[in-house]
Amino acid sequence: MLKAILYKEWIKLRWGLLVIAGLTVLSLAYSIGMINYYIEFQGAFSNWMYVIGKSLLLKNIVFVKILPLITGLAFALLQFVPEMAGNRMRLSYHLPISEKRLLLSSVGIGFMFLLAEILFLFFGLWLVVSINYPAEVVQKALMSTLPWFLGGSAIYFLISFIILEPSWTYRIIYGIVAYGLTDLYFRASTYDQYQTLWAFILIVAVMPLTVMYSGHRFRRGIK
Amino acid sequence: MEHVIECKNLTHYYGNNLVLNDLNLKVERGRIFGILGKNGTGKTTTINILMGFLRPTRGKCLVFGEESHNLSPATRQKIGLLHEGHLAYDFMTIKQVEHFYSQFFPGWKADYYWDLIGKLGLSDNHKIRNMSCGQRSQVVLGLIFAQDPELLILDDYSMGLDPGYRALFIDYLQEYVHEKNKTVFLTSHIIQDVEKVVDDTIIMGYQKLLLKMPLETLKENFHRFEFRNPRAIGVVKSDDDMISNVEYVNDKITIYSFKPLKEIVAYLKKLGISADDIKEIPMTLEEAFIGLTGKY
Repeated sequence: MLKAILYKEWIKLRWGLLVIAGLTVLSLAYSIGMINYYIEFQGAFSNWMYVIGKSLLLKNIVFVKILPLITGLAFALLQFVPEMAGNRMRLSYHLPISEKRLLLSSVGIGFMFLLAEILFLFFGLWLVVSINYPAEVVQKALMSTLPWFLGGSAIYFLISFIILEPSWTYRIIYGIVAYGLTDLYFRASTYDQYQTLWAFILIVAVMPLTVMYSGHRFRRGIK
Repeated sequence: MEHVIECKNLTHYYGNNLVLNDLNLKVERGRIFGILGKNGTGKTTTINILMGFLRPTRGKCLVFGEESHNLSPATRQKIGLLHEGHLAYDFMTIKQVEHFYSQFFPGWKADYYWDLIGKLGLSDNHKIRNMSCGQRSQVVLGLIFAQDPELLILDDYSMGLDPGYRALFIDYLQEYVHEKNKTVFLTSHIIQDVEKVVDDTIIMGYQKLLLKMPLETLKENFHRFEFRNPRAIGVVKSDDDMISNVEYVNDKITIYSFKPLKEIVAYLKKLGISADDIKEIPMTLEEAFIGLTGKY
């Protein structure tokens, strides 16, 4: 049954996966261009200050920052809007599989695809930065991007939670909360702040429960 | 007798609006039940409760002995559900949707599906979203047949179908159900179609069950009488025991009743009304439905 759900989610997400993978390649190419620009035009000393002193190597590359956000948003929309349009989610709820298993496997599969895209970007960035900088710089530069990747995951769960919610009033309230929460991930500077990072990871880890909650409300016919 | 569906004192409100009031019904195995009623009488609400998409305010429904809001996956496997509007995964193709569903049902009968789909003359890669409502209805029906369920619940199966697809749907349904001794619970607005297929009828009025009986019993025992007498206008009124409904058009009086002609004539006589030209007019199920529920 998990195989069948994987098949359905794949049908919904495959074009999104391809487009996001294309955008990731473009973002990496852009990052290479930006890094070369910093090195060429800032001079060695300024670049060193920029990279080490302010840890800004990747923080100003806006494509890298927003790509996880776009991916999380797109995957949630692609997965759950077709299910909710015309109450199609009822088809899924009538399948001979428990409600919990259905919802958890749906978001689990979506999250796995999201993770694949995020890891693709992450390792791409690692390669791009490793060409020109020592290991310490690479580590710090990538560390500074982790909240965005976690933010992409958070937005995926939060948007899924909102889409599955049957009441528009609740959706608006959840939307405001989701905006505030996601904003934290994209404003945060976790350069060497492991505690913040762990808090962010913990929040993402409990988010599938919110999807279960709104999915359960839909199942019970709550308006 | 074993009951596939059993609703006990089912009551449901939407806010302050009472839709179902103490509904009790039992559906026996192997019977085809047509649930009829005007808009807003609670047909879809009943189906939503049966399928666990709505929790009733009071009372309960049992499907295969399990509470409807808590059906186990094993029980859901035994129920083929056609949602209002022939709901389907429209982002899938004909082939994909069959592949998807087949993995949930161990006794999947792919031949039933492909037999129905073959009639459409469409490519296997045709997307469901690009189909007409009639074509989609065939896909959905094919999926339900392939599932080989014990109970089929069909919510307003005729919605959006032209006469050709309605006839096709009914032909296949009749053949499948009678051949395999299935239980069916269906709703539709097209009563002449329901008449062709059902064994039992349930007619729902606003907040009450008007009747539940085998179709043949209804046809034999529910009568329409007509006579002309201007003095009877406003005097003959509907009465639960004797007269189910009465209509006036100019001086023509139409009475709907479960009582035979003899008793109606005697009743009219008691009211001081002569009905010398009274005669029984045969009815279709649709006319009986209107007779019971009224035109308004």
